[in-house]
Amino acid sequence: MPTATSERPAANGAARPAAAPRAARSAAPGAGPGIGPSLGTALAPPLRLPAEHLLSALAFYVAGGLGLVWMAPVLARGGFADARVAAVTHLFTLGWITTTIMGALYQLLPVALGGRVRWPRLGHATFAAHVAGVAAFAGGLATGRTGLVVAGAGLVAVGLLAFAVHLAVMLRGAARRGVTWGCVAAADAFLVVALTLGFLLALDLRTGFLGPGRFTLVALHLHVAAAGWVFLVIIGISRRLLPMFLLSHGVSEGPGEAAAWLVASGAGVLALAHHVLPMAAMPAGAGLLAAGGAAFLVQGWLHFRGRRRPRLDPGLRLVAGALVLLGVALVLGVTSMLTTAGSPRLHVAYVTALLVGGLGLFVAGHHYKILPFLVWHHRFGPVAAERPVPMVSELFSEGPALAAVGLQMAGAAGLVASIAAGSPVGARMCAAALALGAIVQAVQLAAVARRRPA
Amino acid sequence: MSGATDRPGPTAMKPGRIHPGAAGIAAALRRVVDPEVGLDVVRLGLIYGIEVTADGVRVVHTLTTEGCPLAEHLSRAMRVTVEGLPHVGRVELELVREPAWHPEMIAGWS
Repeated sequence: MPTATSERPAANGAARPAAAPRAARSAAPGAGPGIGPSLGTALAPPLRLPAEHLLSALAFYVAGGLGLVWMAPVLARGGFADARVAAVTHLFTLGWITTTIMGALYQLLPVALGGRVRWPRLGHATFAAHVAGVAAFAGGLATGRTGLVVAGAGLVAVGLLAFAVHLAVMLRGAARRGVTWGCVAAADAFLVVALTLGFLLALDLRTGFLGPGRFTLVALHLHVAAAGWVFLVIIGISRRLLPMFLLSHGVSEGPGEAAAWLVASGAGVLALAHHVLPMAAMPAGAGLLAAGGAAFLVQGWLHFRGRRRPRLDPGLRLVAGALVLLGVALVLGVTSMLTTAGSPRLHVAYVTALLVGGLGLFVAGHHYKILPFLVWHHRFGPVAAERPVPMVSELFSEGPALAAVGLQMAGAAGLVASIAAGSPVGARMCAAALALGAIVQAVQLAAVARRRPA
Repeated sequence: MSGATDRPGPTAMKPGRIHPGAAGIAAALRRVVDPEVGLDVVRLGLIYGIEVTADGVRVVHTLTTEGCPLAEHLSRAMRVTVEGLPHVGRVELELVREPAWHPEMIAGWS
């Protein structure tokens, strides 16, 4: 009669009784026996698709950082209506943040939702249109060439609309539908709304058909894009990534779920506020967004407080700094909303804290996590069982990364403070620090993208 | 860490050969490290059981997250590591979802 020893090994090597485990229900195609869906399955795209997005996004980040150095004195005077400020803003929103989200979703959707990248070639095509469009659009705004602006806006519209359709198809085929799925699906819809509003604003540069209502539409476009598109994706994906990176499984996820509902509702109200709902609905939409932002901050705090990982790596430090600046943006935004006749500098400081500090640094932190992980997964993982390979964190030097993190956090915080205080010199110095940090990060991660096993 | 329960039953032994036993297999699995977290799978608490039978070894394990992106690599590394031990025979890995992994299962962080 065969006998067996069945034990659960303790970390010190001693055996302890095995739990009564329940087997996973299914195994994914392409995976080993009994292994659930993973990045390595047939669902995941080749490295090139997310990598081209992430590396191009880093180039836009550097360009946006240098643009901030250029425009810092204008920002410190509250000059939000300057077309060159719009150029720099879109280098951050479309170039840095949106390109990152596009690349990250191609990689994360198969993992987080069990969806397949349906048409990788379409992904490359939308990437090309988007990147070329953003460059032309921002370049046109910066140089005052309206034709280039409209052409760039057209390319961006084509690229993002095709991406939105592709994303919708991927979501339709996703195996797991929960809060994360709902966030990304709603964000996809808001991306189309933000794009429509943005295209109207681009056309208005030629026709002027919006008249004095232009600035209201600018505010709606900004918030539908930042909250409805970017923030909702961040809320949804954070439900998967923050516990995984911080080892904070088990903390309450109620605040994050509330944030998703509040932000989606707020962005929905704002999306309808122009023409459909009375303009009086705008404060209600803004209030919902603020409440959602606060709920997300609580969720982030719960994850960091409940983490089992004692030491924060460079990426997670940036994420923590981003959450702090998101809180600053929340305070400035509410103050800005309550004092509509207040200083234009307050409005600019709020938008800078939101886009550059809160959302921008959140994305920067995840770049330090996602890109090295992808390179490890695709190039080092396949040989990890046969020979020694570096840890993910060993793919780049921590010292320069920590310096880059410090420069970006201090630069972003100082930039917001300098704008609020009306200090052009301070704003330029802090923008330079931010840009330097972005350059160091971009150089480091570009080097990571070239790493291969020896 | 030796003990009766660490040793395979008589029919699992081949005469004249030393089987690593469950404790030996657990010790070997400590060489399989999660490249993101930096801890080995035993210390992380991912190994729920090691069963040594007459014809091989069955390792019951979990993952930190459903749809863990490292599942395939960890699986391959665990299999190669155990297969590399002497006289273990057939190696079977079983992924289980319950009880769900929780950070409290981590055995320590140095």
